[in-house]
Amino acid sequence: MIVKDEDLVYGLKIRDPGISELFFSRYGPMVFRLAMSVLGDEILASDCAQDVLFKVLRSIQGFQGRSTLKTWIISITLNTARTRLKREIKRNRRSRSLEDIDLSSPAEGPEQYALRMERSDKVVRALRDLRPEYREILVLRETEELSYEEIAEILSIPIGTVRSRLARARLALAEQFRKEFRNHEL
Amino acid sequence: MNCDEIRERMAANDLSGIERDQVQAHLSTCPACREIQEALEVATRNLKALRSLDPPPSLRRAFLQRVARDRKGRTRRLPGMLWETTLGVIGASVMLLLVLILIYTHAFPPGTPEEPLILVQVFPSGRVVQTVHPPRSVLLDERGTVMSIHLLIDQHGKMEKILEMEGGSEKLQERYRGLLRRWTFSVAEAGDYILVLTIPEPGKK
Repeated sequence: MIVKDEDLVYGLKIRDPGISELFFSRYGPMVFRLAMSVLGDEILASDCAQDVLFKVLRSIQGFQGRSTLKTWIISITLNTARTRLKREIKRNRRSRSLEDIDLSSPAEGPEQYALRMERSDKVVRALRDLRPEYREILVLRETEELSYEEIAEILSIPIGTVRSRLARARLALAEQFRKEFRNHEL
Repeated sequence: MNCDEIRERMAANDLSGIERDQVQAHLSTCPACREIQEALEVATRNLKALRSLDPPPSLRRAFLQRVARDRKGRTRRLPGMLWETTLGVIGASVMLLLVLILIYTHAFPPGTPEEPLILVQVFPSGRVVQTVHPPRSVLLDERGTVMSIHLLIDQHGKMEKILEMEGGSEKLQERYRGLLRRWTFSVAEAGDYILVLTIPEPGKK
């Protein structure tokens, strides 16, 4: 990436008119994936991601650079998504239908988009059956490829706990996939 | 090691050389643990594949529209004193823009082919400088391809060399290699700069 995060932060702080595009290109997909892994629902995740990205823009003046921009955004995403999840559990509204997905991507046709969603859907479904703290740690490590140190900072837990929780989470997810193999064998 | 210990060690994913041999020996005789090992591999592969899960296009659109609405809202809420200052700045900017248009017209006479589309900003590391060529407005709600180009600019504001290009198709990058040679930048000093462009989709210009 050739525009450094410090330039991005500076551009966001002075409310540079063109910076929102670049900010979205760099962090929008990551925020969406994280929200999706916590909420397990594309419509909720999309809504949550929009709130997170907007929240980052509104609170960027308070960003002091004590953590990296990436870890700061991840923390905001996880907090927002967790709150949203609690609210949704209360409302007991966790449905998702293909009709609700916006299929108007200019870069790919609706069929390719739906196919890609279907492929991701398998792992999202498997994650949905795990405990929330397992989902988060797995996505942070395996999908976003964060170091143990970064995960420890984001989740406010010791590195030893990161290792042990990650191992338990991997086994729990593997168990979900093993069940699926068996179902296919039947 | 028993089955539970073997599974824990495999899931921890940090086996030493000796442990690896022990685990391999166990797996060759234990189908249940072998099944877990395969499931662990599939799970990891699937999590990595999640990286290709892009947000729906509506998210980008909705976010940029919300930012644009927020900007307009903030402008309307400016208090009196700030309005005066803002009007002063706007006045000065209009004057500057007129000068720039004159320079631009001189540098890019009407009919210049391949007129650049939208130029957003030039970033030297740590500060942001407004570009002067071409003096195009930024369309916040516009959908488009974001390209960033790391380039060397000489003391006359002309591009000397492209160091790196990111974003956009090869065709688009090639087109902008040609365009950049024609552009003039307003920079305080020669050096390397990062240019960020938003190129609208065809028909949205």
